Amino acid sequence: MDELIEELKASIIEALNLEDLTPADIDADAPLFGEGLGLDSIDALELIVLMERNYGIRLKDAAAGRQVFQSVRVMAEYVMAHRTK
Amino acid sequence: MPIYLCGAAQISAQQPLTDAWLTAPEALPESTLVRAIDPPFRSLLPAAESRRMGVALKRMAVVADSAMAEAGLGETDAIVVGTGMGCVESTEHFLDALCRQGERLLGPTHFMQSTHNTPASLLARRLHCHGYNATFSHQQVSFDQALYDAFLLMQTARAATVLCGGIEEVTPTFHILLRRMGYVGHAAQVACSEAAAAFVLTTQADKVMQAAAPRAILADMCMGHLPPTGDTAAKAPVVGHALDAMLGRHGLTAADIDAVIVPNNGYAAYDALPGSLLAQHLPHVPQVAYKRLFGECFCASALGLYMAQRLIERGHIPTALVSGGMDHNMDCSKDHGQNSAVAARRLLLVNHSMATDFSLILLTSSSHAL
Repeated sequence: MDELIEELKASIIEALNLEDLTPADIDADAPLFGEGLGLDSIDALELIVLMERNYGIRLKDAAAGRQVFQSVRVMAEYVMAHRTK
Repeated sequence: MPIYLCGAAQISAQQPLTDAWLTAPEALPESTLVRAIDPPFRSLLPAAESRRMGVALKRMAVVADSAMAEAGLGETDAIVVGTGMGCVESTEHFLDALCRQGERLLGPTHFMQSTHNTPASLLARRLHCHGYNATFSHQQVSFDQALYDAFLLMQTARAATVLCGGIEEVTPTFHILLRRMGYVGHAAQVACSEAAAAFVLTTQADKVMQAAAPRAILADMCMGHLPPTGDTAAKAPVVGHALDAMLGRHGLTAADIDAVIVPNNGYAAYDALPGSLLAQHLPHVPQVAYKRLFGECFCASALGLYMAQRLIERGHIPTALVSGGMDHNMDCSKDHGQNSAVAARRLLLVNHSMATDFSLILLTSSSHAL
């Protein structure tokens, strides 16, 4: 799990061009949207693409997406449970 | 109603956001592509805002901020931008992902920035300008068309202040394509480069004429289309007719023009049109070839306007910048502290796009308004 969390942090930094951050700066339990990293709706689209491209997970339901993107740790748990690649 | 150019900024092959090119110009490196010198974006744009911007957008945002700050007017009524190709780097990223990922799983950011009108819309969002917003894309007269739109907006009193920008990004891949097109890379031709420039134009004389230095006035402008076929030099009379009409509208003759800012880039086939025009209509007027300093790109004419505006504000042209026609009609002075110099009270800018479209721009100093 810890390895996947670190992998997700690196992928998020790259996909969202968070060039001032390192994986160590991201709290795995902090909210991704609003507070925490302060991501927005376009970032959410990038994360949806990331989930499908890297793990074969298709998020079609917006409500489910909100749930999955609560934090890096929640993302990692969802990936562990649903990944197809 | 005079249209004042009251704020301007550039990012180019010269030092960015300064006028160092006037006193200590950067010699263009021996390369067919010279990328722009970027300012430290991190200190100029909030990280949270700029992280999603491609380089072209960062450049556009920074020059617009700088021009708006210089103008000091606070807001603009309209935004017009010229760009030949838009945000090329983002377009390449998007197309690359399209190919690599089988036209699936494409992120939104590069897609959004791959459209030509992204720079103008970015400016509108950043400046909270809900007014007129347009982007012009027509190869080498893209910026000229944007400026012409601004000119007409103000002449018809539809806008009192307009932010007008020009942006061109040239990546190594795009440069290869431009070479294949025969646009750049010819022997003796200046290097291909990049341009980002922004200008604030206003008719609010009471706000801009408090400055001690003379202001540049966009006195007149015209654009036209040339026959697509035929000898390039033979098209010069068409442009000459438009020039005569423009000068005639203001009671001017060739002798009233202090210098011509020419688009010459060293490629003989390209330089033939302005060469013939000036030989026939302005044979003894000094010429300033700005592309020797800034290089060639679709929006290079924005840097020509930038140069002209700065020269008019200074009131003279350093002789080091003058490249031809200096045997007559010069107001040379050795009292400017610049060795000798050519006066810059009325400047004509000539531009054309592969001898199929042309523009003529007349700038005057507020101290010699028409």
